[in-house]
Formats: sequence, C-alpha cells, structure tokens
Amino acid sequence: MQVRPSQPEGRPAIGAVVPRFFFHLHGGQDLSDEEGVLLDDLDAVRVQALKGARDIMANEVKSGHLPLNESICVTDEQGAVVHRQRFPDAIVIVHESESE
Amino acid sequence: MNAAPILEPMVRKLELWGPLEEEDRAALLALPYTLREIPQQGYIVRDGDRPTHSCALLRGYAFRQKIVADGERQILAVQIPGDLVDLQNSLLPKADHSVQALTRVEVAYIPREPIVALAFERPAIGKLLWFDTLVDGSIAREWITNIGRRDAYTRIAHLLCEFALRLEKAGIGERDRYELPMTQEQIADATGLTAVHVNRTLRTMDESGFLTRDKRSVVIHDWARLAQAGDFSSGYLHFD
Repeated sequence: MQVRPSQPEGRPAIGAVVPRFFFHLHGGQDLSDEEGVLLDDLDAVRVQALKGARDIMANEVKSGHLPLNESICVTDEQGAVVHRQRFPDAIVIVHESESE
Repeated sequence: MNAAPILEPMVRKLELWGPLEEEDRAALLALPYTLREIPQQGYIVRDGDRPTHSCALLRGYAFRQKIVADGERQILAVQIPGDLVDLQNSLLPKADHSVQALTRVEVAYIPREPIVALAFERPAIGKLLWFDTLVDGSIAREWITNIGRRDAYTRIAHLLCEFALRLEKAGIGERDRYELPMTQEQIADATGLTAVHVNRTLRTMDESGFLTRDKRSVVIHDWARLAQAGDFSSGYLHFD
C-alpha cells in the first residue's frame, strides 16, 4: 500500500476521516471485497486499481495466462461504483508488426 | 522486585532455543523495563532512531517494515507475543527499519546495557539471545525466498503455515485454528502483492477447501495440503 501523507506516522487511524473503498473483481470469477482499503481520494483509488490489475496480470502471465476478460470495480462505503478498471486498459500491448 | 513475572513471555520464547538454569531464568525476569501500551499502527521503533532500549512484545502483534522511495511498504516480519522485536538494537547503534503495532500492543522497553551485560555475564543467556537473532535471520531468509521465487498462491499459503506453527509453539493458537489480525492490505505488504490480488488468491484458497479465512481468523482443514501448496517445511523455524 501507499503510506498516506495525511495519516501522521505513529498515530492511529482511529477518528481520521479517510474513506474506505472496496475493490471487487469481475470477469473471470466474480469476487466481492468485504474488507476494503482506506484511501484518501479517487486519485489514490485509480492508482490502486491500476496496480492491482497489473499485479494480477503479471502473476498470471508467469504461468502463461493473461486474463484480459477481468476488471476491477471500486465502490465506496455506500456501495456506489466510483471507478472501473478493465484489465486491457491497464497495459499497452505491443504487437510484432508495430514494433518493427 | 516484580511481583508478577511480566517478562515471562519473553523468557518462554527464549527457552524454545534451549534450557535455562533457574538462576539465569530469574536474572532474565529481573531485567529492568518500562511497560508501554501502543495503539494499533503506532511505532515501537522508527527507522533511523538511535534506540536506547530493546523491546519485548508482551501482548498483541507487531510487524517490521521498510518504506521505499515511492511510499510503498514492505512488511519484513510479523512478531508475536514473547518476541524480542528489536534485539539487534541492543548492539546496533541505529535502527535500520521500523517496528509498528499491528494490533494494540503491550511492550516492555528494556535498556540495552543490562541486556548486553547479562549476555556476557551469563553465557547460557548469551547463547539463547544469539540463537534468537539467528532464527530471526533464518526467517528473514525464508521470506526473501518466498517473495523472490514463489508465486502469489504459494507465498500466502507459506505465510499462513508459518503463523500456524509459530503461534502454536507460543501457546497462542493452534496449528489448524488461529487468530490472524492482518488485513488483505497487510498480507499484500508482507508478500509483495496488492490487496486486490491477495483477495483473489485467498478466494482460490477458500475454493480449494483446505482453508477458511474470515476477517480475523484462519481455520486450516487440511494442514498437509496447505503445507504442500505453500512449499512449506518448518526446518527454518528451528523448533526441533
């Protein structure tokens, strides 16, 4: 995770008004996030979704599998969708013909 | 004199590495200390500090961590009650990483001079303290191997196996049922993954049927299969 500048080091997060966001997975297997992550704002949400999508794809690629059908859907504490990260949008695919 | 043996968890931990004569035991229990309660996320030691004390974790869980330039955190180790969370600071002048409370913790701050003195005056104690730092090093080597060479599934399975055995040995949990007060985000930081990836991997584990994890606890239904999935063999913990 990113260490949030808004959370002073050594202080508990208790009482801080940092919103919680939930990162649900869709596509391959639908998987809801019951736990969520505390993040400052939507910029931080976008960064985490991008990193998450790349992290999953990178690991899958190591076993020869690239799940471009998946996406991460982020909701806020009220359940409203605030961001969607499709896996293909998280990477640039360079094809053979383009690289020549 | 301390009426209750406050440092008992620390002594029990050290006794994992070998027997202690009653006099040595008493000398350890008589070490001076200051008790401190630290809230969740609070710092026990900060990277760059010049510590004057070493800390014994008496209650709760803590983790060692480093933060890299872009703000990402790597959890290096998880400490459980009885652990000396920064014994290296009894000799090293400057803390080279931070130790933070994973849950609310109770910590005994022990001044470094009496620890060092005890280690040299009483060789049996010195040997156990040395042993303890060597095992910490062994666990760190295993974590490097885990993060460097194992896939996401294996990394997490391995971590869950390690906690099971350490908590069992410390008398805090059972091998197949224990409290794990770590969020997906913290498991991610300990395994070099992202929280969303950890969630996905834990789901796959759930579906395999040999493990159930809810928010804060782990129930292992098939230890042998989890250990196999986690490429886990316990030798590096030096319990035998």
